Amino acid sequence: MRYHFEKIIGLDERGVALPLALFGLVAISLLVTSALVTSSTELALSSAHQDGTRGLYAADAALEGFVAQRAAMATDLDQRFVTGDYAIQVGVQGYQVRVAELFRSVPEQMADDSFERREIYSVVTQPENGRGRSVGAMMEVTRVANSISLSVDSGLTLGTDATITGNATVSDGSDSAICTNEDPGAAIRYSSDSEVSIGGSSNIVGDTIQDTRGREELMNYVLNGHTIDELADYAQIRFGPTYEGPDYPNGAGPIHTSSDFNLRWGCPAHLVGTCSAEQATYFPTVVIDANGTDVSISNWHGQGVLLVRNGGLDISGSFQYAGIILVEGTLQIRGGGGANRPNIEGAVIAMGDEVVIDPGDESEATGSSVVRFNQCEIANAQRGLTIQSLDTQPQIMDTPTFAWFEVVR
Amino acid sequence: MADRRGFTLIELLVAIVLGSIVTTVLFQLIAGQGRFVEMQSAREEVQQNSRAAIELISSELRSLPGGDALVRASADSVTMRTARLWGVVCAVNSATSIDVVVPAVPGASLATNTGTGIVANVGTAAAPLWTNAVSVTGIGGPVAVCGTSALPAGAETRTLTVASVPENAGTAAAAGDPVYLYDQVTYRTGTSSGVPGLWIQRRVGDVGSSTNQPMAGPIQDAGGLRFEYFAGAATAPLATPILDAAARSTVTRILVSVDAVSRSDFGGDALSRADTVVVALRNRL
Repeated sequence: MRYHFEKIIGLDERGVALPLALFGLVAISLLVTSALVTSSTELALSSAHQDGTRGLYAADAALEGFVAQRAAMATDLDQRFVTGDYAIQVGVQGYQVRVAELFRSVPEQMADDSFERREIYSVVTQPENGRGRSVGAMMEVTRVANSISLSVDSGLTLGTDATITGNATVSDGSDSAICTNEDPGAAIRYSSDSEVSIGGSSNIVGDTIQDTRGREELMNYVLNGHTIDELADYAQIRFGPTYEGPDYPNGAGPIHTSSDFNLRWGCPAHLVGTCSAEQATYFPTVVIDANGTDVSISNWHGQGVLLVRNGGLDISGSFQYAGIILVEGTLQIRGGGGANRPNIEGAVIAMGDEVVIDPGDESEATGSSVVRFNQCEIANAQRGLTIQSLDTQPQIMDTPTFAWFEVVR
Repeated sequence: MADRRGFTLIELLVAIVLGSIVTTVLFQLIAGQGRFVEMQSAREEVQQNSRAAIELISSELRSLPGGDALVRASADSVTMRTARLWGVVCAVNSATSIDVVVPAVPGASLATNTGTGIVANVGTAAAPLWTNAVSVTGIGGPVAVCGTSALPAGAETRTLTVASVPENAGTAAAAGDPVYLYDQVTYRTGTSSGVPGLWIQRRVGDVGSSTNQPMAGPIQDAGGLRFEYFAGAATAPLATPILDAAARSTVTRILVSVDAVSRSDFGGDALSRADTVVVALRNRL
């Protein structure tokens, strides 16, 4: 009896250890489980919230960082914003920045004859791994191009010997009502180190002036502080290896209805008659790398500025052109009879080895090429040149980003 | 020889009492754990509700443009013209059709945005005026050209069917004008049929043209949804309601606070959880 009583009242505790240990273990387990549930719930909630917030701020930082990078570039940079995909790092997260040009305005002529153009780009950043938030904004930049003006005051400006024969007409513009030249020009101006031979039944309307400047000086005077390389840089139509374009298709003529962009050189309405409004107001600059040979243009029409470099130019057929033609090599203008003759309104500048207008042979009797000084067409060509130079002008960031948005998927 | 006597009555009674005590304690612990899990679940739901509500409200506030985009501003509700899409006018095709060039964002959907308004920032990228916002009744599919000009990658043209050509101060939208599509969105506190308690309600459209939809809740009866409006660097909020449009246009930060309650009741006290964020209006900074 004593033995059992001692067991019951605990004098002998040998059998209680296990139940007590199990009890404690259960209690501790429950407490730990509670703590785990609490903390894991909190962690899940806060992690989701934190990830979302961090993703938004990171995407925003990527956008701002990209724009800041662009702004920090050289002030004369003309390629600050260009359509394309870029990469930027924010912390450990890489972001893709997609820039797209949404709009470019029609160039607006300012009071000082400069031109201004607005461009609007969208900038959208998104995580490179495709997860997380994306944001976008728009950016407006402007480009300003000062007026480009050449010192051209005659129908034919020559830095080389020239022969004018046949029935060719070289005029100062006074024989035409197409344009009233504000400043009196000359029919021909040639350098002090060159000679001009006028023969046949050619018709020179206006003065033929031998300049006091030699070939190089006269060329510099005509370019008025610009260089041919600079003008060529502005060209939007480019032929030949130097300009990484196709070779000019010799014998072909440009026409404003061509399916080939490179052969749409605008449409001189008063020479051609029927033009689309778009092409009538299009004055492209065309540069042709003749690659050491002669470029042959026959028939059809164009307007603007035509630069032929590293070779000569042979014009024939009924090619109608309004604007400025500048040739570094030999120039030939070969007229046919009647309306089948080249007609150039504006100015021709030839600084190469030789210039021949309406050469002999069969064309001598009927050749009737016309080169006429036309300030209106020269002004149009220079305006076109100025507008094309906008592409190389700095992109001015004078407004902050706007239209910030979150991408909703 | 072994002692084969059984347990006495006293021994059994003591054992039964001790066993009952241990079992009761264990049962209480397990039951308490169950209640704890339930409470934790309710707490999670409350937090999720309040945070989800704040997240949506913040998201729509953040991209709010300048000008009259903040339509009504009071302590317990806000009405705004929240941006859905920014773009640039490519061409005005007719009095009811406008081509707009927009960023092409993979995965972004415009399907739900018909019926929104459109505003053209004529001639400026700054704050839009709202004198001639018009409704949009259709948004065409993406096209890769603007007029005859091919668009670069990352841009696309959408043809919007509109009630009329939007104007600002009498000047019709023209190519190059920034435009944006918006929804007029209201957040307020209210009750809905069949839904117990007060809820945060969201309404897309103006009064009369749409209904308030319960979005998140339930929330506290008083101050369950609160807004405070700050202008510039001011540390004190503007007095509400802000009745003057010019004053609303100066708001650059909005404090949003949601005090949600759990639907489960523990000991007569509903769990309450408040979350507060200050939203910087990104397009007004």
